[in-house]
Amino acid sequence: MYPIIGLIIGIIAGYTVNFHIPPEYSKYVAVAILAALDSVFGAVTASAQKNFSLKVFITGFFGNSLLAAGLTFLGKRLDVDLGLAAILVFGTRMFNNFAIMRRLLLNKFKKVEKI
Amino acid sequence: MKKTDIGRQVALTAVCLLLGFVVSLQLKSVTINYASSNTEVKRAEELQKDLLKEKTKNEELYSQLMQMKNEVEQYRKISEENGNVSQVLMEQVNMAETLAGLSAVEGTGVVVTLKDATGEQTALQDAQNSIIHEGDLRTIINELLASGAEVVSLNDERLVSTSSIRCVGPTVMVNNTRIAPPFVIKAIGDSKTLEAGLLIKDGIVEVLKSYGISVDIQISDKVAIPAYKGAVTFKYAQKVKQTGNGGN
Repeated sequence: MYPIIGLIIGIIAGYTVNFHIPPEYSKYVAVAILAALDSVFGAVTASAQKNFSLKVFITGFFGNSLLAAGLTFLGKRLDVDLGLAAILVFGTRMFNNFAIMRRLLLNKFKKVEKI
Repeated sequence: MKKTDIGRQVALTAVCLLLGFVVSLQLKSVTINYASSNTEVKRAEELQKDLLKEKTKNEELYSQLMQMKNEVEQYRKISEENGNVSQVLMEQVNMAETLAGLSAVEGTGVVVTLKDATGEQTALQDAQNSIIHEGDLRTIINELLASGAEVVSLNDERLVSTSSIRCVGPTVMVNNTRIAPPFVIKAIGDSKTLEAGLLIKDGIVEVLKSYGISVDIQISDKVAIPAYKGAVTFKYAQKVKQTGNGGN
């Protein structure tokens, strides 16, 4: 419950704050968001599977974000789009997490058939 | 609630807060950046802003200039009332002003009107040649000056010693003012000589006419040429101090 309230407050704060990210940093923030989203998805899945660990979540949230942004930065320097690696990995993981959750939920509501 | 549960809730809330903040910030930024990401659009917008700024500045400066000119006029009136010595000085000032292009003048001369070629094109004509270029204007003005023109104006822009005539896109820039066809060149001088100079065999008028450009030369007893609208200031040129007689 509280996390959702926090999320809403964060969104409102982001919209109302009188500052916007300069275009040259936009890409780093984008991959960082992707990494963060992946962590949140992972956390939700882990919670559903009852093996959520706060330490893993927090370190993953910040670590992955920083690593993704760092990779993008390095990629820019090397003229290889390393940000794609982050996009691919986190994108795949998000789908995987969603698939796991989907199965969990379906199994919860439809106990008759095993999917 | 267990202690670890509270910690978990707080941490999750904090993280979600951060995530929401960054996501909405990024969304907003992308919208803003997208609007200005098209560099050409951005460039045009910037230029437009600059242009507007410069225009306002220009207007301000112009009004300032007018004010200054009024002041000068007032000083002159005061000095005119102050007797003989100043009268001689006044004449000199008037002379200098005419030379510098600061006073409106009139006299005999010619008015040359140039229009871009219209109608069907002959073999000699093509798009490049059927329009008047700044070079044509320069040649005509040069010809007029060579024929003894004393004062010349182009579309009522008085030509002074610092005047330039150049091509700016589809228009011509003279004295930092943009002008477009039809071009009217006024010259004060001996009207017959001026006309003869222009109509010389193989001269510029003949060339232009062969391209279909309409050149109309009118002799007039009263050609009125306005004063130079800009300010004459010398920032770099300094008068050389002469040592003794015949220093040169």
